[in-house]
Amino acid sequence: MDDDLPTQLSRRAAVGGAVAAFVSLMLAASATARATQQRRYDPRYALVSRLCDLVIPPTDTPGAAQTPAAEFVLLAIDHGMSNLEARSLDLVRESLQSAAGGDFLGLARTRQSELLAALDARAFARSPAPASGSPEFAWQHLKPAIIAGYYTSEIGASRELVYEPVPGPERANFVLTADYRSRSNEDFGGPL
Amino acid sequence: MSEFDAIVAGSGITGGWAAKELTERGLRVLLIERGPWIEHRKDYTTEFKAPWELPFKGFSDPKVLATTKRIQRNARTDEWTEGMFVDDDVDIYETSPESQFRWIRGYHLGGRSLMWGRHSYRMSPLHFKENARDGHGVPWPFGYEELAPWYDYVERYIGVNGTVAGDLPGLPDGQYQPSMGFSAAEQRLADAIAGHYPDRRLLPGRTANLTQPIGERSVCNNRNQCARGCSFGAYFSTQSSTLPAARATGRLTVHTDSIVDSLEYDAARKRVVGVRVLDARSGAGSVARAKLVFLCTGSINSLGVLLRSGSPTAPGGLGNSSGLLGSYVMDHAFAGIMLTTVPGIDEQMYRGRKPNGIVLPRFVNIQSQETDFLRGYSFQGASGRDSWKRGGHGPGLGAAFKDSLRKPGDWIVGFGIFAECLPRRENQVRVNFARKDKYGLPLMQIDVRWSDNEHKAAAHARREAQAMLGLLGGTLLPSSDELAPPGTAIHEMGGACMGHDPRSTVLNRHNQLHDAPNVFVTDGACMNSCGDRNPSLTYMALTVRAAAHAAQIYKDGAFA
Repeated sequence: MDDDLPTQLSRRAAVGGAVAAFVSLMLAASATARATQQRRYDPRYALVSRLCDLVIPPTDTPGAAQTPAAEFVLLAIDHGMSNLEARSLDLVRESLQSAAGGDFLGLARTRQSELLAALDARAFARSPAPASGSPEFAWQHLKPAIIAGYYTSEIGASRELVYEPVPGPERANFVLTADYRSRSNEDFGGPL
Repeated sequence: MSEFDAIVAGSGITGGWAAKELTERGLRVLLIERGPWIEHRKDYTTEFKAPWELPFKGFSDPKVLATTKRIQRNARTDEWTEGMFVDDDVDIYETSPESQFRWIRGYHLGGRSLMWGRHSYRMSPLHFKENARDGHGVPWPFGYEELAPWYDYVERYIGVNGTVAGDLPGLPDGQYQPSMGFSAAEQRLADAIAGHYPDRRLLPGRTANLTQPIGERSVCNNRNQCARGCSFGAYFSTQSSTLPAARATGRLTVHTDSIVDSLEYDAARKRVVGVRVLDARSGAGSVARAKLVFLCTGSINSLGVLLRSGSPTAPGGLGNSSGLLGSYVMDHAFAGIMLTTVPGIDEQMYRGRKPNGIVLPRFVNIQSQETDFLRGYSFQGASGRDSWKRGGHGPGLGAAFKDSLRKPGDWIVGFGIFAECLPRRENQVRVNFARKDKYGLPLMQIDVRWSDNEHKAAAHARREAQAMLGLLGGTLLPSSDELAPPGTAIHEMGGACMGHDPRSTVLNRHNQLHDAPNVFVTDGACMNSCGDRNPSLTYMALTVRAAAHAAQIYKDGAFA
């Protein structure tokens, strides 16, 4: 782009560029929306959604299952984010099925929670460190995706926590109050 | 006769300054930028995007990170900022297996001024003396005192927030806006260090983020997401500061999507008479003409322009009669962050996300040689509360777990290391004329390796950092012992040393090529040593000083 181009040409080029950019944005947004919708019909969706629900249940704010967290987890698996593999979910499923003595998703929610809590406790125990390829190791990689999916969703970021895109110029240290809620913006991006 | 008095190649931090200073001093300037136009505010397309509006929620597509951003990702990019960096499949270069140099760039109007770290520290008087003292590299042709007034000028214009510390031996003071200060954890660390080490002082980082408005630039809103671009103009960039000033003179013309290929040299007059330019979109070549040329395309690219400008009278590249063009290339030896938790201040919190961090200036080998390595290092760091991400890395689930993540986690504070890289002749940038990029330009070859000195300095720094962080009584978190490959600090510099003797230097004391005095090189290529701190402020001061000199001698008829 030349700074000294005739105004008319600049305007035409700018309008053309804006239209092209808008069309690409529309196409990208539409592709993302389609992919998100398709993940709801993914056979893995039911289990992942339940895992999300057990980790972050609804309380006075919606839980992870009421957000696109499960879609994000499947996206993370399918794209290998943070070394997640398809077998991570398989290993977790098999472990929970085994502990359930059958259909994990068919159990009562309380029992599901107990079984997942047991896996979670083993996965994050100080020792021994979970072996690579174990369900505990797989859960160590899967859980960050659930958390990230929730706290980067609009509900997790702005209703469960406080979304503060522009804190303002008044920066200050202060003493925490009982009703203080963390700012979701503190740690967007980076590793899961 | 050309319609321009001067051509400035490159629109990043130094190119923007050169354009501003030359136009304000009455010269008609053509500013050439290889990348596309980025309009202030309008083209910061991700600035206000929420994570849920991005396909990968801010975490980036792993495929992109593994391919087109495989090198650029080391700039700690994310899904908001990765578009500001070049495509590693397009903007290729060569580096040796022993070097693994990471060349991190942004090809667009404003260059890396849009993504820079903004830490703005003066080099100390000691830094200008050490090449002469220990015999490494080429001695600087002037001392700190020569540059001090230009530092003053630049700091006032760009707006640096900082604490006046009383001219510490390792870090001179400057002209500062009110500091962004410390967080509670940083204050605790500062107190602990002061209590144990009388020769060390932790300071709030001095960054080019405004705490007082300058013109149309408003104060920082504590978002700490500067690399997306800032519509408030609250950090210094070409777009927010120097470009508007240059355009306001009515003497600036900007050509984007225009790659500087090489310089046309008139051996009889010992001058450059044209700048060969490639249209980045069509590949068409053209020649731009002016009496003066400022090379500000970033250290390695400026070296590339000169090395590609060979002629029968300058077979090794223009400005290379010393044979040293492309030698003594440096970067800071960067070692990863060491972190500790900070117990006992859980009730303390902060409002906003201040973008200045902390700095601990050099404290070794100040008065005398104390260590088994030469020169020194500095630390930069930051603090914060462990975020919601901790939920993914520890035990817990259910309502109580969710509730616990509403509160901030542990305080964490830490340091990264910037160790000075000795200027060594064998650390070089060359051009491989046998391989070309998509524009037909021969590839840059970068071979910069760490020496034993950098490894020893970093190991010493690591031990000292652990001792200082250990004073807080928290838990030291695991960190890497490895030095990152050269280039990772994104402070690549050197290759066109300044000095009095044309036989041993490339530039004179005013940044002019000895072999073609109407060419000024004022980006990082001109640095004789790198010190232990962020160099952009020094590049700016050198550029302003050179531009003032250039404008003066131009008016005096030096290049008539």
